[in-house]
Amino acid sequence: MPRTKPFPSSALASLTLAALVQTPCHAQAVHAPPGARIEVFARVPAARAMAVCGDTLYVGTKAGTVYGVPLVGGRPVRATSGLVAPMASPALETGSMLRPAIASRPSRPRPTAGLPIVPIS
Amino acid sequence: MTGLPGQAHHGLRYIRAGPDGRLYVSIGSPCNICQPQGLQGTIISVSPNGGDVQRAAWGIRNSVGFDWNGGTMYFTDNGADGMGDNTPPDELNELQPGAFYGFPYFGGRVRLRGFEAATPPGPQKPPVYEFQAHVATLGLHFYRGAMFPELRGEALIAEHGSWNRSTPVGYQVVRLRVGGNRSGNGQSFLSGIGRPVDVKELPDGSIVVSDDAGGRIWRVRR
Repeated sequence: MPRTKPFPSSALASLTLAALVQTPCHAQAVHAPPGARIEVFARVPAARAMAVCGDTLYVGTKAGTVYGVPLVGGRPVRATSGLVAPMASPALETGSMLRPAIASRPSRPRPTAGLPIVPIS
Repeated sequence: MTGLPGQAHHGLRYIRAGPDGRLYVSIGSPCNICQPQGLQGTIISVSPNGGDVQRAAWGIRNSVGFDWNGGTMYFTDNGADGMGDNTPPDELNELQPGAFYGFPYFGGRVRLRGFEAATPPGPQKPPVYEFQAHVATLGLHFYRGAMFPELRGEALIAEHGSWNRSTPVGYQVVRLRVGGNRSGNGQSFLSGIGRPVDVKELPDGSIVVSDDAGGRIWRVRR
């Protein structure tokens, strides 16, 4: 099994930006609702669709990997790799167990975080 | 399940488990404007064991976001390019199982280039909301939490941002209460966070947004 390669967590280099930036709207100024704060929760390359499943936020990417970010904070870990453009991974209730499901183009998936990967058919 | 169309153009899938226990998967049309073939340009649903494939919706250009509100599924659809700065609109649609949503004959209620005179295969179910052209509506999430009570029941929609418009638009997350106005730009909720793709809610009610250009997951909370 390939070694899990975590990415640096934003929790360590937390970039908490003022939510009440009183500058004109332009591309680089972060704007959020009054009273809210916005921060970088995680750094995931080419992050696309997301799904909350159990205590993990799964993130599909334009590359070949699905990452899992612990909701309590911490480093994103590779949940699977070897996929082609894996997108989203919603919670799918199977019996009493929640597990993510992944859609991708034709691929040869490799589990990297102890998660079994099986086609659903 | 296997055997789905594998084209790279509009090949970034979106998948969700529905309240009916079935998996819903978006399959884009592999082009700007063309006649989709087979399962291209559809949202399908499959049983959790991969069988019983059903075409939930068709006539879609490329949906990269859907969610359910009150048992009804809503989905975004990206409008065509190359027809000018202000047409056709991006769409928010309400799922009527099996309905035809107009592509490639219509974008919003505008006839699309090359198919102006072609006869659609059936009546189009028009969008419930039309967005400004080229904002690139992607992820969609109906807010359910307590942290932002003013958002409950509203749709949060990621606008990935335009790439072929003289003045860029989008690049933000907007909020929208479905059932009011039929067109517009929603109300800006977040901006300056790169190119937003998807919006989700964590169990504490905080909101996370993915940004594929910056490689970041943003989190908003009180």
